[in-house]
Amino acid sequence: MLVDRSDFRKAFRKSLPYYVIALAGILFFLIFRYVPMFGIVIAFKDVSPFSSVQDILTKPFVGIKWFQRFFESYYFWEILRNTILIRVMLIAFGFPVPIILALSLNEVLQRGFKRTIQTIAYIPHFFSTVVVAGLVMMFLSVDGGILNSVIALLGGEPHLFLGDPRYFRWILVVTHIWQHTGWESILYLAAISSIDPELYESAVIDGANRMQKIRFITLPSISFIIGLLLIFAVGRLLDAGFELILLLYSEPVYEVADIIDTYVYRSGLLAMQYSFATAVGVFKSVAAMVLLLLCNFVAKRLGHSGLF
Amino acid sequence: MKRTLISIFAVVCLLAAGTAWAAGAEEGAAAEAIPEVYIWPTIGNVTAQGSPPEVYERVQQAITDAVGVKPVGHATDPYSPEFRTKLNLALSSGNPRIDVFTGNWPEYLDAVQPINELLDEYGPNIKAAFPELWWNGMTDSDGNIWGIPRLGIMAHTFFTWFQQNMLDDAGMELPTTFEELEGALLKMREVNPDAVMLSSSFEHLRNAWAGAFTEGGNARWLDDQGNVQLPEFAPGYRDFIATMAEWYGQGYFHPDTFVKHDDTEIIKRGNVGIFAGWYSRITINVQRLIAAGGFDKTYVFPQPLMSDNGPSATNFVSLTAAFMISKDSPDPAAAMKLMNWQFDTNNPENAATAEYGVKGIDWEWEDPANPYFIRRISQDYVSEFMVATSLPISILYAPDSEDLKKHYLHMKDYQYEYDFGKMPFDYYVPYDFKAAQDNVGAWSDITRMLSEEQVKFIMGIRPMAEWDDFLNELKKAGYDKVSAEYTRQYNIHKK
Repeated sequence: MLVDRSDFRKAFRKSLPYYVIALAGILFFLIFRYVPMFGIVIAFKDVSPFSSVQDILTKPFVGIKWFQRFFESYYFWEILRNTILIRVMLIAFGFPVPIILALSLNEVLQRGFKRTIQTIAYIPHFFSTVVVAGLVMMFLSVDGGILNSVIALLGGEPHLFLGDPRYFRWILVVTHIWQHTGWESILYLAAISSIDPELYESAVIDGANRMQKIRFITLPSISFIIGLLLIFAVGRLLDAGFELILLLYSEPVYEVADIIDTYVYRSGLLAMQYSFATAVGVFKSVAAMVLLLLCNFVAKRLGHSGLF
Repeated sequence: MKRTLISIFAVVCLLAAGTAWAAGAEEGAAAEAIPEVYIWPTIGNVTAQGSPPEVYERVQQAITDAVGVKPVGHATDPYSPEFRTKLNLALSSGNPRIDVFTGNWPEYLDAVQPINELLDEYGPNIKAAFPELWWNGMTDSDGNIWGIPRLGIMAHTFFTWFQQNMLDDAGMELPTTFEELEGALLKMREVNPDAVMLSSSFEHLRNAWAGAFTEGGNARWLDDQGNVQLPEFAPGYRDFIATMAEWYGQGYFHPDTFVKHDDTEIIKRGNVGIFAGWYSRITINVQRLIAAGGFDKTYVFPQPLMSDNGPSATNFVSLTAAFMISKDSPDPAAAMKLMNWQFDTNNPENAATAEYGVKGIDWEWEDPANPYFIRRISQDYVSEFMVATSLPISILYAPDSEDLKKHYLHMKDYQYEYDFGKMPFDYYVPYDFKAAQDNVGAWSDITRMLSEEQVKFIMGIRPMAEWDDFLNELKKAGYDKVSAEYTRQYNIHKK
């Protein structure tokens, strides 16, 4: 059916404020998300940190030289393994905790107590990573650290936790859980609050206990947000928490702690090899996109809602 | 509708007229403008907040009156992790403008300009301030001088410090040889069972003690074929690592020594008997602990700590650290004039003004007849205009505060005591590490392997019996290419 031109104009004029509002968002993504993608070209050229845009455009292509350098690194497989393993541990152990916290808080009837717990849980999220690393070092220090003092009090020998490859990844996981659980539970709490109370009332009439209400009402009702956040988390499989690792790792634990980002920091940014750093960034982005699409596909095949 | 259009037209006209007027005023002002020099912080005093505006303007005006050049300082935190990234972005985009900054010049070749002619014309004080040797480090193989020396060769950085209180308690004299080191710690432990050794890092430990085991210290060396080799392959070096491993196994080192730790937090506990690390941990940090009260330990060092192989320390060479003028600087002559004024070693008040503010308002000489210590009247000015943070200037004056006096006196007294440490054989070669990393893909892998595996040997994670395996692993990872690159660069500059 043909639309009358004057009708279209009328509709356009009527919706103009909405288009203007949308324009701000479109411009934001164009300027800050799509235009910078032009920078990908740096990964295929030999670009100095001080090259102008014209230099970047005119320099000859060097093919996949920088990608090759990354893949041929002596430590490539080790850092890839560390990156994925740390992230998988963070997802496996860190992902369910905010859900459990949100479910638990939802069951607390005493408002004051609930608020207090929430505040205490949120606070660490606002600490800078430098402060968190300092706290971890103080907590685990052999000389006067709280954990080692407790061990000594119980008659044990102090242990160099931060220098022990067996513990290092667990330190990262526990620190991450401690710092972010409270904050990450907010989304789940918001989702829980939108559940229709009548569902719970009906369940009570049917004789459901608390656990049954959680299992058959709360969890299914927030499963969409759980799925969504899980897809996002898997999409970040190659982001294993750069700052905390950089601040805590040292030579004895490189073999379990050196990840793609710390490697790029040393080899690419400190050495000012921006083309190399960009190439690794491109590799990470492509891998993340593939993972995201894969997860989305699997989620949909399993009957859950996907991202798109 | 008509009324709206007329209003919009009026506003546009008004804006256009205003802009034209402002542009005209700007042009007129530019005709008689004093040249400006934009400075990226070169000293740790600068803060993200910067000096209060009235203080900033006062010092700016004083310097402008004296030099005829107006310094403009960027207020940004030099200790922030983004400090260098921000600098690089600014240099590549030209926004914000930067005329003078510091860094290793080979890394900034695309962003700076050679200063040979500027030095000849406007930099007599600068040329006179440095020994000829230091200029070698600023010069490429074509004779271009890319910067003004900042650090150069330092003899004062890696001493072995003994806690005086523990020496006194043990009734000991200050040890003067490396061979006495172990015995000294054991004696200290007789009166204080918790006494330990500490180093800031593995690299610092090597700089302090590897010289007791190898001919060249913690430095590259030249093999019979004329190839530059790393210290790990030097005769005697294995013994150094073996001895450190033995000492670590005996519990002589503080257990946190080779993992992330805070030197000051550990020293504060009072049980560090021997410290081998970066000097300011003692000359500043310990002095701060003392000044704050509650800490009464002092540290002394032998001059120097000798061994059967000569000095145990190695002189620290940072030959390419430089003050540079950006290639886009619109008035490089003004930048050079400003630096030349501050580098006047016959008139320390110039640099003192840039570092501490206006004399008589922000600071004064403690003893005008013997001008060395500076008493600060105000702490408000945060040194935004300082562009002479270099050793020849650092020895001209010092703040009289208890926590910094010792630091400045230490630099003044020992920075040229090159006999206290071993001089690296290639100390005059300005290695271009950026080019090296560009040319050798395995460079960062080798760097990691070197520190990682050696620390493992020391901590007992890897047995010393595998030392030769480690050297083979280095070769497998591309060590020969690293050695070849060092040799290539050495051959360009060798004398």
